[in-house]
Amino acid sequence: MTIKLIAVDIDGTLLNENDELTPGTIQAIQAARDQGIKVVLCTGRPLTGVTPYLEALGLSGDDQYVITYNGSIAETVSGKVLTKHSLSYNDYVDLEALARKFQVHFQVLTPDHMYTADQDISPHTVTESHFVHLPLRYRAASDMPRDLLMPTAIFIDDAPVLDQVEEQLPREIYDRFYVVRTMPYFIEVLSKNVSKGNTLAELATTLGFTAAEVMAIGDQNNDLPMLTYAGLGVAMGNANDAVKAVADTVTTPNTADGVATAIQRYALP
Amino acid sequence: MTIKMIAIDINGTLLNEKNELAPATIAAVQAATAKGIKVVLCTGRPLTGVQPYLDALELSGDDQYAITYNGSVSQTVSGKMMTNHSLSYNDFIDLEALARKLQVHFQIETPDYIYTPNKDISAYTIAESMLVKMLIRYRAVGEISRDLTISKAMFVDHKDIIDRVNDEIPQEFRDRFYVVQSTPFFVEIMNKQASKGNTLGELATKLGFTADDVMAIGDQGNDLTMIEYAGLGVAMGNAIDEVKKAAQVTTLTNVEDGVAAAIHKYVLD
Repeated sequence: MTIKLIAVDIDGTLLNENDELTPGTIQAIQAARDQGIKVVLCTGRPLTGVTPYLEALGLSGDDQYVITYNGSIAETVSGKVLTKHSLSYNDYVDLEALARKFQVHFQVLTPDHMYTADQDISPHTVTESHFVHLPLRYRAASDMPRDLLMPTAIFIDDAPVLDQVEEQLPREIYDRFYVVRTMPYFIEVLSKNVSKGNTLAELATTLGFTAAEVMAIGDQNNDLPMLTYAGLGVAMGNANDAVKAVADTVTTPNTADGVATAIQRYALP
Repeated sequence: MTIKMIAIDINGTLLNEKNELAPATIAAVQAATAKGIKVVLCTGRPLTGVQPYLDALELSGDDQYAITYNGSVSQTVSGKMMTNHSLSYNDFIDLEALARKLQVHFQIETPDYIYTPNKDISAYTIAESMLVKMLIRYRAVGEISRDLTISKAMFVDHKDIIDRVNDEIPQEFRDRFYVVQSTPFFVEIMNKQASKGNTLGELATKLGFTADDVMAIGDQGNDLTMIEYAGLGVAMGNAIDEVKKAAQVTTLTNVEDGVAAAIHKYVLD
């Protein structure tokens, strides 16, 4: 089977332990790109947090694609949105109220900003705003506009606090939304039918590919759906057990150019 | 004259060109401390912003001291306030109002937190929070307590905005406060009585020392007052001319462990 599309998670997969793109990784991806293979970064980050890597990889224009916000948005690298899923205003109201009952920090992301109603701003919020280049806005809950495109809402706090929240979140929240612990200090809440897998499947179909022609590479729980969908699901050597269990194969860790290894082995002749 | 206290500026003095503490510097400071000499770091940052250096130099507890916020505050390295020249509540009101007229982002720093009334939080407030490791609190102007110890106020924004603001600050504010542009993105405003020299003198007196017991080492304009105060003023080899003229002696540059050289020559050997 010829691979025509390679979906690659970013944190813990594309990037090494220092959050860097290695030369070996860049080379392998550019070799795939030059063969006409679509390399699609699939990330929980917003586009602003991905742009530096797209530039370093030489992925640009209207015919390269990126999946952001864990699948809430699929767009061309040049910024044309293909599909989008948003939380509603009522979803925001309910989730922000829940955060206040749990006494946990809370924020929502839009394509352009990070919003928080927390007057005592979490250091994790500060770090995220800085690293993904999304400007931060304080807005009291009652001041939030009713018409925002909100791909994701995040309970953001120290890991032990979120461990408790995960246990105590009402069943109906898990039924109503796609809830995923993407980092020790993040519980992300997205629209129910959003996932990297679903959006990857939609994108592949739009481009005329079948699942058999798709390779997906990841390491964390939010990669499970795309590894399951793809004809060739590749777990990083550093992936967690759940991800390794669903994968068709395991490559080397991100400390050892696992993405480059997988691309050379399975996608390049 | 026996030196009993050594005041050392941080950037360009204690730290080398890579902003690192050289081993020779650490050894010299620790040797002086072991002899009972008080080594006092003097910085524009809050205490949290210099904690890594205090740790590396093994300066801890209630009987070691630091001068922070360019002399607004002197405190034990364990955080107890010794002397304090802060902005008043009315100063805060006037400066925040000026920020709104000049259309520039604004924040204040207490010994514990960064406060901003900006709902659209500046990327430079975010950067400052990460640099000095202080949490950000959003507070509307009316929510700022009249009891806060305001160590400094800052106009923070993009370089071209700060350039404009620097031109537009009315002379009466420059007469009323100690105003200094510390980076292309920050204008810092402190109580007029706050200076490294004033505060070093106050701290020395509190500890029972005279100016003759004090050596001060620095390189920039904001070190002039402490070099003038100290019985032994030492200019770094890389210091600006004004500082060299004001000093009694000049040591090697910060690339050549000038601080270690001065401590050996004038204190240890």
